[in-house]
Amino acid sequence: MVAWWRRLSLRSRLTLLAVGGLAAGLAVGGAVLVAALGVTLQRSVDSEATQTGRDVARLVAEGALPEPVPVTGEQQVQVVDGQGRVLAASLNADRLVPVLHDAELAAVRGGGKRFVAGDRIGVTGPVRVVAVPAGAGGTGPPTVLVAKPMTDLQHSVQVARNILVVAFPLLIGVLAVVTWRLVGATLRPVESLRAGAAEITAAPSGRPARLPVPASHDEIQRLAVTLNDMLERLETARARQRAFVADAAHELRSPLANLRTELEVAQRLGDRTDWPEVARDLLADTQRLGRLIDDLLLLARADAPHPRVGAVEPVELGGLLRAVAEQYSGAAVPVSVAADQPAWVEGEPDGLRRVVANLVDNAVRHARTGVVLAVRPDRTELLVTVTDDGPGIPAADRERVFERFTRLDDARARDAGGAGLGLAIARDLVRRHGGSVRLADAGPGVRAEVRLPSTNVT
Amino acid sequence: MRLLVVEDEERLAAALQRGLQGEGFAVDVALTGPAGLDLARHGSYDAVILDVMLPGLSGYRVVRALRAESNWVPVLMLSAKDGEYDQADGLDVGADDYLTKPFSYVVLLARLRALLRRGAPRRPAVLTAGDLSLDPARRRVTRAGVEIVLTSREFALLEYLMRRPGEVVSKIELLDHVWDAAVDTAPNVVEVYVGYLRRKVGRERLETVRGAGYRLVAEPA
Repeated sequence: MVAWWRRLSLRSRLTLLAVGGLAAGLAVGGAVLVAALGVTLQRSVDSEATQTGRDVARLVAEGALPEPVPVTGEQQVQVVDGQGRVLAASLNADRLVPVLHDAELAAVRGGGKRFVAGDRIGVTGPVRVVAVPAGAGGTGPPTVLVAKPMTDLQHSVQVARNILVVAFPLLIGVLAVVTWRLVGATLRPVESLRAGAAEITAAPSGRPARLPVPASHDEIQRLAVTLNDMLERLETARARQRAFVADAAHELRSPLANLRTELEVAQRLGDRTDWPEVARDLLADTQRLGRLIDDLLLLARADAPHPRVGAVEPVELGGLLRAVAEQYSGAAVPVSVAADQPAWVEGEPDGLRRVVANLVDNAVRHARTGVVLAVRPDRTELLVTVTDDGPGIPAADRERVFERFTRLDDARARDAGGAGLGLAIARDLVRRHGGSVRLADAGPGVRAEVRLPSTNVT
Repeated sequence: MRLLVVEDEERLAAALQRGLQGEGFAVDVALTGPAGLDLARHGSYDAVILDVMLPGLSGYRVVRALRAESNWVPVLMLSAKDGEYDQADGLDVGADDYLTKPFSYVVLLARLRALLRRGAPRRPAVLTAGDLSLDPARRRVTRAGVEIVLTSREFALLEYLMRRPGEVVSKIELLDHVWDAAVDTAPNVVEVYVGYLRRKVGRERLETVRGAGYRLVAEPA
């Protein structure tokens, strides 16, 4: 039963529910209506008969009862004495036999109502008999019996019931059609959403995929808008991923092309080749390729949902800066450190060293006379700065340089510049340490500012 | 034969220089776009090997600048970009060949030889005749800067005539080159289309040479 119900479409289910509810309501309502009609009619018959009975009883009491007893309609009246003899009767009533038998008569002497079979007075269907006690008489107080056939009343109730039995199914049918249509109209946007979504999965990528948004301002329209937002975010992510892969492939191909051409040329020149020089060049390109692959792997890991953080330990930044500066002792410009007090952070020593090294790489490339590394506390954070005195970077480009493969090297040959991943990696690493990194103007040149949460280890 | 290599990868440029010199070419190297353009303009080279991603000025812009100055030196583009549209763009701006990095040095040499065989005839990417210009890559025709909308048949007809400016082209030749070989195309279909074309590009640009054919004139008398 449940399985069958679940197989139905939402539209059928809603229609069935509505029609079922309506049918039950109408059935109960109809039954109540028919019952109430019966009771009401019965009451009015009773009160009419009682009224007639009282009128006749008054005439009896006054001794002014005409013979035959005058009545209206189908009512039959008998005045019966204590022994069950008919004293008077209406023209249409039996003059000899009371409509009630002796036992029944005894039960209603003081007044009462009961049904008897119609054949006693020669009609079909039940007959209502109302007894009203009349005033004094010869032998015991006489009783007025008013009999009324119930055929009319039954007929009325029957007609009402027949009307309902025909009208209600018609009504239910009409409402079923209306409900089916209405639910269909309500669910149409859902169907068009579904069709739109099916088209998206089937469509070749590249075309901007959007669901149709209904013109209404209801839940379904909000759903469509929300889904479209989601699609847009997914598309942006996918486009970014594609661009990253294309850029990565491009960057990997360049050193590979160098290697291949160097080797092919060397092979073709044969004896005229200066092999030590070729080896030197090949090594340089191999190292570049290796660095690039390391960087790409690092970024790929950073993109994982939960980038793995290496062993975290307290790190003293002043010492770390001095260690990095030492590695650059052979650089084109001197790299100096200004750090007087110990500055501790919690972090991966390798990661933090990489951040500083990448920033220094960049600074050394542009500096005219020197690069200065410094660290100082700034409120609850530690501020690490790498300052060069080069030509500087326009304010508009200072965010863009942190994007992957961004190079602002319009006037710089490739070998001098990296692949444009250094700053992107630095930012990823700093973020993983709960910090931030940005570039600021340093008069002449650029100041890279890294902020890291400080731990007060002294 | 004198070659120019414009490549910002110093080691690749050096290797190419060594190799090509070993093949007997005279080779100059430029490491940036502007330097390459400058050399190509003023030196007389038989071919240019041009990287796309160059500092200062991209390879596309170098080629376009050269062609705009009516410098028809054969250009072989090198790029690590292997997208279909990257290659198509390179060729459409006026390059003669395109190789994707990493490339085979042997193939590079073969292609260079092929380029040198062809020499440096006038082969503009955009055809012009007077104030009329036709860009086959973008399928655009303009006259004095105003775009003219042509059907594809009209476009093909005009392109064929513009490739032979000043020459008389016979109806039969036009029928052979612009219409499909098949079907029952009557020669007078050419007359009909020349009529359409005259209405769009100007009656005086397409002269009828009685008994011989049609001629496109650059500057109407």
